[in-house]
Amino acid sequence: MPRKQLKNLTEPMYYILLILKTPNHGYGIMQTVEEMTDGHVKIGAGTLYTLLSRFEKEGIIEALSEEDRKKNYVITKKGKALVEEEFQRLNRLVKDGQDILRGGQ
Amino acid sequence: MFGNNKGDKKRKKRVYWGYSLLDYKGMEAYFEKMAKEGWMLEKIGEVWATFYEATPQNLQFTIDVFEGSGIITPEETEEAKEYRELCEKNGWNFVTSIKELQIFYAPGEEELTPIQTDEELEENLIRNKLWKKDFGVKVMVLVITLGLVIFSRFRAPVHMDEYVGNMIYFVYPLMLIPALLSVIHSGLWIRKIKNHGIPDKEVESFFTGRRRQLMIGATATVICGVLIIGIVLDSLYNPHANILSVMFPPLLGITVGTILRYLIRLKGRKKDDGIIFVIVGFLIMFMILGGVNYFRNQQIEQRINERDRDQNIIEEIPEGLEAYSIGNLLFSTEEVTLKRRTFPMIGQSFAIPKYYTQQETWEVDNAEWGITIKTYETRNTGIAEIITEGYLDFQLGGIITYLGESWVEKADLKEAWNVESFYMTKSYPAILIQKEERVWVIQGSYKNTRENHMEEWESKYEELHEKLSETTMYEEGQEIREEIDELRKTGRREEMEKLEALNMDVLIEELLQ
Repeated sequence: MPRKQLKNLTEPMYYILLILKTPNHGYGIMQTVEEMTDGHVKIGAGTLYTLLSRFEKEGIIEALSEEDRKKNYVITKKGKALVEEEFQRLNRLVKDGQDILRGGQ
Repeated sequence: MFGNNKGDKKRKKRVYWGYSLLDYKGMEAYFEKMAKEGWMLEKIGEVWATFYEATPQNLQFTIDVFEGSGIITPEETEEAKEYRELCEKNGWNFVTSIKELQIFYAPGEEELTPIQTDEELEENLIRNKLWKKDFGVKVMVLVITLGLVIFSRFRAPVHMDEYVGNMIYFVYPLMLIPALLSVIHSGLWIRKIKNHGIPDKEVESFFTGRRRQLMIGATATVICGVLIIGIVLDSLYNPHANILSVMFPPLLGITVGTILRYLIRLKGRKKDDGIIFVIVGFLIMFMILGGVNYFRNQQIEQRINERDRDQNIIEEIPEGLEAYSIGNLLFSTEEVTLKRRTFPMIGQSFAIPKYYTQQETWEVDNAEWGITIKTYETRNTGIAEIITEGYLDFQLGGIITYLGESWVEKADLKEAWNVESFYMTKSYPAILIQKEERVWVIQGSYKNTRENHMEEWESKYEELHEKLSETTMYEEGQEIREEIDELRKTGRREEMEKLEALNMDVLIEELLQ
């Protein structure tokens, strides 16, 4: 995708990368995301396909050997750093929210 | 499920397709309507879509643009299969694909996750995979059309004497209308998406559906049909017209294109197969083109040689032509003999109901004179003017351009003869006259004269050339070149003097009658 380098991750992107800490394939990712989020985050098959091929191109995930014609993906070092960064960012957001909305409790 | 019916002997229906790929939201609504009426989509071809009979059912269709698709990518790659499987697991049943578009359906009442859930990604996908190519192709067609229209103006004399040429000159510019409309449509389409996002399923209207495509397509088809009629008329009435060269490139292009598309669609499995097919296809096309070109040139050469060998052919004057006894008119002496007479070009077109070339060789006082008169009897003064201007702009059988000649208007002669145009070339002997709806081009041929009268001139010419080939000094070479040039001019001047001694007045008077 000729979109600029990823900055903030969208929810689906974040979940995909989280899940790929252990190797998984397309449909597996889709199911896991739905289970994890109680169906709050839904990823369409086309969108997932686009994201996976984009992540792969950018070296954030990599494809493992295929089993039963199913391509398995796993997160790379670069990907892990990216999720970690996003995790910290989200944490900061939550902390700031807590400070102001809940008076630091 | 519908998919199971495919093998059965079900009733089928072919429907004129005619959607632009950009209309895919309109297609969704159309497939749903058809399913409700009991017709399920089976496949889509270039012109037709096939539906088979099924129980009327409420279905939802969704069309997605596939990330890994492209015009030279096979439709059945492993990647595509993987993607479709993913969609099927989500409840979307794959029906068929057409180029970038992937068509899925699901029962109407089911609430499924859409195939695309990220609008930004989807917009990018549509813009890059679908629209860019569409817009690019349409702009290219517009530019080529415009180029051809402009080019055809410059070749007016050539175009006017053949039916195909007439069509190209008068009818082909209309092609700019559909070409321009296509570009505008594509531009407005992406602007709408940019401003309002991707639309929901669209009910077919003039701007979203097949009626617009039909209008654009019909205009183009009518114009192509008219060109084909021109080709047929030319083959009947203008035997010298180079029809093969008009027809061959498009025919070859269409054939090779169709075969390639077929191979890519059906045989290709891996992503790179398409590129290999394209390369092989181009190689074959160039080889065929080269071969045919070589063969044709051989044929033409042979024909010219045959005619040239027969130095004493005297053709009968074809019926309905006003031929002139050129020699008797041009030479005052009684001692003239007609050695050769041919009519190499006789034909007709809409713009010029009659045109012909008369070529004669006369023997006069042991010298040979060649004269060619090309006569155009056009439909009206306007067309005669187009032809005259075409000659002034462009060419005179190639030789004038080769000699670096140009036409000079002879205002006094124009007035004296009471004609619309009177031009002569500076040193090479040629005259162009237009009176009302008729145009004449008179050329003198002096090859034979040179042989008989100018041995001295020729030996000097050869001597200079030899000298030129021996010298290595630039300046000396330049001097010799100038000398040759001067000699050539003198030679031509001598020829001109001889021409001026002829009774050109008598000939022109005869022509103008």
